[in-house]
Amino acid sequence: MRGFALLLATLFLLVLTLFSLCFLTIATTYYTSARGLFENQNAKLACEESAIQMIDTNNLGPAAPRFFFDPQHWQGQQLQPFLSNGYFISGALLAPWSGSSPNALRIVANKGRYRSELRVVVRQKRMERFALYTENGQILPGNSLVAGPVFSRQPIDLTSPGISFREIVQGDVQPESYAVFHKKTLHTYEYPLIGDVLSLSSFSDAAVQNGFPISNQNAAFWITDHYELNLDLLNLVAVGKSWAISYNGSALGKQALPILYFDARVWIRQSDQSLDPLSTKPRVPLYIASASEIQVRSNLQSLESGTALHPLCLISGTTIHLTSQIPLSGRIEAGLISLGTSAPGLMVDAGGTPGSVFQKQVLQESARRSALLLEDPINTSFHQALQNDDKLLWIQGCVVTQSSIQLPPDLVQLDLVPSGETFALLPPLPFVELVDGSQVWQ
Amino acid sequence: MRGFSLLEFMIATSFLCIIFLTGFQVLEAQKMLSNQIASRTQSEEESNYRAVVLKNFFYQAGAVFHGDSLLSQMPYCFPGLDFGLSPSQKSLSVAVPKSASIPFLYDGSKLKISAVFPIQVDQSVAVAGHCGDQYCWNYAKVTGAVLNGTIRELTIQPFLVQPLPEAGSMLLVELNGFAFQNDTLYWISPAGANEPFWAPLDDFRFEWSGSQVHFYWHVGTNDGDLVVQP
Repeated sequence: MRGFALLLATLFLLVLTLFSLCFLTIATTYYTSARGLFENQNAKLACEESAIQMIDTNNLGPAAPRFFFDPQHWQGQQLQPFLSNGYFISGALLAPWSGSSPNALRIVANKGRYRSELRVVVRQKRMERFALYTENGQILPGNSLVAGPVFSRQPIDLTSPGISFREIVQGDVQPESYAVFHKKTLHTYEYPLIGDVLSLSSFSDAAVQNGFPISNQNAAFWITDHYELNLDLLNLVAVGKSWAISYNGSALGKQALPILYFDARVWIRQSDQSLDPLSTKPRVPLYIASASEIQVRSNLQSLESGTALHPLCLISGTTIHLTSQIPLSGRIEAGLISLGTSAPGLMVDAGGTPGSVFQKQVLQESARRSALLLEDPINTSFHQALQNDDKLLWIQGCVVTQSSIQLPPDLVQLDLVPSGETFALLPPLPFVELVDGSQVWQ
Repeated sequence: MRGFSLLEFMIATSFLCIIFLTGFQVLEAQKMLSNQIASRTQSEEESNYRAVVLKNFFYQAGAVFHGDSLLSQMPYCFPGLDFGLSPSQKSLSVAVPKSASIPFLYDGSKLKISAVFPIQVDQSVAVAGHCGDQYCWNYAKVTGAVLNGTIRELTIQPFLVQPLPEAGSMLLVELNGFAFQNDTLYWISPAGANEPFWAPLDDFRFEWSGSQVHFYWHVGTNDGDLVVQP
């Protein structure tokens, strides 16, 4: 009987072992499946998180060097691999980094046999994409539209209700109840001082090396005590990769960059024209810089040459002065950059003459192609001001100023609408942003 | 100790046979259980994958619309398959941009764009801009396209009974749909063909809450949901 008992005991042990093996196998299968599921999902999350982490590290981390420009993190176009939540993150730029155009970035998260790949597009923030970038406190009128991002180091005071900020505002707005904010963020970027990024000498150097310096009271432009530039008389012709510029029939030369740099005060005027809204000509900005004041004495708009459209970028070493020669329904289609530190950086005169039917029509056409249509009260106020010949100012471009903006008391509406043009001569800001909708899983 | 009796041998042999049979059944059961576990996680993995595809589909469609101030305010996702005219929880349509924004002028009969944009007959467009001083939008089908110098003149047939903008921005779009029927979520291609996108599914429905679309689905023992904001 002892042999039988021994055999039975052995068989029971065998049964137990078999059951244990089965349970172990089931547990292993369950663990493997669940782990596979989580790890694959986590790899995707790690990719997304790493993209955000890189952008946040760049924007919110130490100022120098920033992540995307730090050789410790990049070897050429290759990202130096790093660990994030147990995932090995690698990546590469698909082309050398560009400060003026979007950059495609491939990010791969790896852990053992788990892998995920994401492609995103990041671009550097640029001053000209702001509606307003200012170091000084500003006072803005109500019933106004600010259709681009705003940065103000000092508080912005609103004089009356109804100002609509359609993009993110970094800066205090007082009183907040007068403003409507369409987008909000918790991030605060340490935007650089304008003086640290832009200097007048960089524009004069660019003009001397590759552009058109206008100096020593150049007879083609000099009148009494200032230069006068009638944009109707300026002719730009593309010659290969250069631009041949003539003024009032006299050739100024042929250079790579269409930049005119005046060494003293300059007055600018231009007659109103209706540009073809369907034009797809390439954009080649025309830079007009002055070591001193720039006086604008008419509406301004992009120039059109045979092969390109030339958005205007005005850079003044002191003040950009929008005079009362501009119609009451004023339209400035240009980037306005004032580097003067003594007030004011942008000065708008009171009064003016009522705009002609044609001028109003051109202004209306501009406004109707903008976000103004989406802001009912401001749109109504705009058309009322236009009808009543009240003073309103439509700036289609960026306003960048180190010192204050001086607005007249009769200005009932100020609309700041970025044009979306890229002025490649302006250096990009060191911050980057993800281009909406650019995420593609591979 | 003189060996087994016949009875003992028979009992032991029977027991051994039972162990082998039971062991075989246990192995079968274990295999079935393992397959069930794997299939359960597979459906969850499939759910996650489909959710990412749907999310990216809406996200990328929206990014192009949001990139233009005029187009940003027009809807591109509708309950039902006819621009929201017959809302349904089981179907939904999405306009997927196939071009960057194109400036246009509309004179009441012809929609004019630059000749560089190769828009052709039978393609669909989303148009947004101004009707007088007011904002308006519409979707339309291109019924004619004539090249006139540097301008391409399009004749269009609006899909919705509402005014067409006089000027503004337009996008070339493809109208895609999703419909749940017969335990399958079908993708309805721009040409109108139904292709299974996700099957089998026990349930799938769309719910609109303000500007958000909630997707709910049930497959096997898994419930899933996704929220997108067109």
